[in-house]
Amino acid sequence: MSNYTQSTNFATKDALSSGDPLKIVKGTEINTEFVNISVAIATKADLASPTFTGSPVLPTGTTGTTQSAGNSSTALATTAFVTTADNLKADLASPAFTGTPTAPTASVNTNTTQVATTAYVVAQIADDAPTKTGSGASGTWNIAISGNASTASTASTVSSITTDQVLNATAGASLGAVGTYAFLVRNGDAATLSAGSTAAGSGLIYGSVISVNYYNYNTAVDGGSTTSPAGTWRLMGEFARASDATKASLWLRIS
Amino acid sequence: MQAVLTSLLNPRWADAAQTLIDCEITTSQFGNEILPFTASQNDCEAHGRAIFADIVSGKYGSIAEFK
Repeated sequence: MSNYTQSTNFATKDALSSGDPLKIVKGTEINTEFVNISVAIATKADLASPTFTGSPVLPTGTTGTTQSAGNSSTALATTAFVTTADNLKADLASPAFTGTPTAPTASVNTNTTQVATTAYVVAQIADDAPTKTGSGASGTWNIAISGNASTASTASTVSSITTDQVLNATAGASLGAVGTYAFLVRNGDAATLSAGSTAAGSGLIYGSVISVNYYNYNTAVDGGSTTSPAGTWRLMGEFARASDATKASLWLRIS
Repeated sequence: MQAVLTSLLNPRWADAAQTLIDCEITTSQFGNEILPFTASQNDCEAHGRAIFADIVSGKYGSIAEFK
């Protein structure tokens, strides 16, 4: 880039005397000035649609024409263009997406802060689900039994619990075990109890119904022992008469 | 299903020989229903014996006297 530099000072010629040869304005001098002007102009950019080369520097605050949204060229972007584009993007912190956002699908068993896509969830559930032998309602899910459920069966797979298994478990239960029935006497307590009421084992004793008068068929309840069961018992009969202090019924241990 | 003991209140001796302890419990099986429960060191159920031992060890506070 160069600026115009004047080669001949024509004004100084005015003061020269008429016979001085330097007073003459020569065509070559004028040509030189035009060449200087031509060279200087050739290194300047046009005001309209200037084409810069090298490393142009613009001052802060330079204004320009805002490109239309979506413009993707070598045109300079104004702050208005940048703001419009920025408003279309989600924040890095707590972004609020709209539409149908997607993300890369994590591999099964990933346990990180990575986003779980619906494809990941479906794959993870499929991976965690027990295997099934056969198809339809008659198929069998293969489920490993552990913990308390193993008391029902020692088999590693269970398709159903059979009646025999239930009966055998009941038959093998100890006297007073949870889930078993007992004929129990509540002694010395006249309060009525509706069916389904619960009572602590300490207020009950194992007992029986006895005949106290063979000919009149009178009966009574008898605490056969002083042994009280442990746990919580649910009354499977009903104690409706408040006048009788000693009552007996069938009870189910529930805890 | 194995019921889980969710609360145990008011432990008190239920016999003079101190073989039974009455209390009120709630369990996961019965939700908020408060059940009267007798803990016994001779319970055929292991959980009953464990609860008796826990009460005696002071896990649920002091044990009221037998009345």
